[in-house]
Amino acid sequence: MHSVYVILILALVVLLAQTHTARHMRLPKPLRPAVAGGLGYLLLGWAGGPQVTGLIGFEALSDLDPLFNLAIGWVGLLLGLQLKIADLKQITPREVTGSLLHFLVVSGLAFAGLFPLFLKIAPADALGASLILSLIAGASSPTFVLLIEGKDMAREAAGRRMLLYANLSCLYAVLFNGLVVVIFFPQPDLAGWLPAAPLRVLFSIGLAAVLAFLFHFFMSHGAANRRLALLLIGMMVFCGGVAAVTQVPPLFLNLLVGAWLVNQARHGNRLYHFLVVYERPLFLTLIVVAGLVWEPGPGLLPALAAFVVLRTLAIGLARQADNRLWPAASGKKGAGQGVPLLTLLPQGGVALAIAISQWQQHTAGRELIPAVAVPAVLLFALLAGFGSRGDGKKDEG
Amino acid sequence: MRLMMLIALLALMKLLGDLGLESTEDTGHHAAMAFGFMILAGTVFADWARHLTLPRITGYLLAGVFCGPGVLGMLDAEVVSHLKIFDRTALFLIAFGAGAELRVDSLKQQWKLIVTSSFFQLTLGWAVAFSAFWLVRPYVPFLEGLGGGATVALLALVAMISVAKSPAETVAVIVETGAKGPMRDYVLGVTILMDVLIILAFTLLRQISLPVLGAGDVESHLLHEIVLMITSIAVGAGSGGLLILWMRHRREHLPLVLLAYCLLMVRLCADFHLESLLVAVGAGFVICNFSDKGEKLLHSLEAVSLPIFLVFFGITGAGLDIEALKKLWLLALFYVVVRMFAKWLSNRTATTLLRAPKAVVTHGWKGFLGQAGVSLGFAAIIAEVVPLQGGMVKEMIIAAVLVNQLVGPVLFKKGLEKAGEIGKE
Repeated sequence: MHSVYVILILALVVLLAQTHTARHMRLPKPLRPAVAGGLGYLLLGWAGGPQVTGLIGFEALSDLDPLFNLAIGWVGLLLGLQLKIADLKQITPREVTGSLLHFLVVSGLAFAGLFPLFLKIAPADALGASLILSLIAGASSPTFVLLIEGKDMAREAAGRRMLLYANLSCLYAVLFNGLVVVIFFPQPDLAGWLPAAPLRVLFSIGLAAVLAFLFHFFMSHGAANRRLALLLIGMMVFCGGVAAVTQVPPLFLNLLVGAWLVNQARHGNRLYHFLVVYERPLFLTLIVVAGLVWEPGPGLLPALAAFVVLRTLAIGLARQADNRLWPAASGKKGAGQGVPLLTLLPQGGVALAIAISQWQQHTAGRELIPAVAVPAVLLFALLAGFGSRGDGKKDEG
Repeated sequence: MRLMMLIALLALMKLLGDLGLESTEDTGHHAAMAFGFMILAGTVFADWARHLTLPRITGYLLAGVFCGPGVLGMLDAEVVSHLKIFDRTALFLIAFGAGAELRVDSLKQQWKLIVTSSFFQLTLGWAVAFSAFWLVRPYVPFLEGLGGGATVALLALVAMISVAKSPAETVAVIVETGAKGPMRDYVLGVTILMDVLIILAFTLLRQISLPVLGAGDVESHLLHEIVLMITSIAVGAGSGGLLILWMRHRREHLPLVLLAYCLLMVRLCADFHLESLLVAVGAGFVICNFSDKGEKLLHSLEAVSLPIFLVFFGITGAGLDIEALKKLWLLALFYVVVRMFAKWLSNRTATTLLRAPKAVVTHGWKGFLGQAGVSLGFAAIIAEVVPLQGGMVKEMIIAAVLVNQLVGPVLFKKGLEKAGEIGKE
């Protein structure tokens, strides 16, 4: 059967099943965030993919490459468009330091645990897989956090700070992922032409700057909504192509472009609202693709278990350290009270997008990264759901 | 300034190529870059077209031609084949929009005019094109060495191709201009009816002509085509009914549902050899005329129309062959002029006979000039069965389509302006 039929029929089943469960079944509270966040679509992709039914082969996926580029570019650009300098100025240095330390502690601990394990399971991919997975470990999903903890969270000082940490963790993950790939796993021709890693980093940043500079002139004429939407699509597809050719991660490239546009382009701040409107379909596309590319290998179980345990411990430790370092903000009675220790456990679009872009572009840990990251997103949503305070009814996206 | 930016983007692409960064395994990556460039170029070209009071789709077409093999060579046949799924889906959505624009009320008012005009285009239009080529037959290269019967047979087919027109262009100009009025309804009605009739007429003519041309066994059955068409319309109407049911029960993500529906239908049509244009028109027509969801549907379609038009006309433009025009420009020009006259005459005759509104009599023919996929498909069939002469016919048609694609939308927009149907509430 053709892949289009399979995807659409399964999508219809999932949509109807979701509607039915939402209307007629009272799901256990811990399950609600995972279901609302697209669990069905993840299973849909997996069920239709090469690992279960084999109805959709890997070759068929290449036909939809521009769509994946669009979905991944969307995540990167969305992050970049949140980096308005005026807004960034409101973040205190202590919050930046705290969030960065939090990210580095989580990623560092994850790497320290994963690297020795991967040396045994997949020696050839050990460095690449453990580095990228540890960066994925550092990323939390602000949307999922809000979904699980409920809207009241944003009213508490510590809750607001955790949301900020989650937002910044996505930013750090994308930036560090870009640097790691460019430094350690460059495109062979680029590595031949620019053997020094710092030069490659400069090249990548320069490339993003050139693209952003050129795009911003396209935006200087006319502000009709549909015209802006067209320009956005054109920019993301072009960036996706450039990223694929140079093997600079598309998330990284789009993030830098977005950051430039929101601060420099005439209608930059309107772009964010466009992206948010169309985020849900693209997020679902991302989840389906994540399910499709999930390929469990022989070493998956220990790797997945290690990743989940290490990340959970690391997040708990990092949070404890954060509480001790800045007790006034989160430890004071009334300020951080009730915000669970593992608030930053849930992951979402950024983690999936990094995993998929690794799968699309690079050979280092190509299968292993999505194999671990995709089910982990699901497990973290379930784990976080057990300790949640929210009702899990808000839609992801 | 934006021209400079386009040139800079081109330079960047060239630079990335020159650096040797082309060893990535998938050519789709380069397709993505070229496709992205075409979209950006399309927005710029469309803005320029608007400044010149031309339709946006002329800009999209030119952007496609600019990126295509004839000029920059970025979107070559291989790259275009990567984008086929988007192209077909876009065409389906355009036809879906055409069906949604057709209203029973206006069809009831104009049905006599629509049927008569379609009849005259098929008969008088065909006869004019046939006669013109017959008169100049000693100078027509693809008729060299053919006997009397074969000449008549081949000319009959060429004349029938000249009758065909592009529904996509008609819909695109109507959606872009937001035109409302009798000329719009008339052109849309004739275009859709002609789309059905031309396939039947060509199939019939092919059955008669190809044996005369010595093509041997001809796999073409009129009855089969009729059954397929009826099935297509039925499938379209049925799926339209299902969409109405869906819209009644679920309100969210309508553009997404529409897109999924179109993907599914495009695939179904390809697998079961259904006429996708008729399926789409049937579905759109049913939704807009037999439910209260028409406005909602049109609104959702309009929201995604610009990217669809750009993708479709951009890829169409990239597929147009400038080399063929360079080679056969005189013959192609003759074909274009004859076709234009045939359209004018058949429109004038039909509309005068039935005392149509003045704007329709004077400007209606301008809505029938665009030509694209159907004509190219017919030409490809001729080239397949009689390679020597058919090959030349195909080249002439490709060259003429390039001209008609660029001229057709411009004249149609001007015609709608003169008829006072643009900017009407």
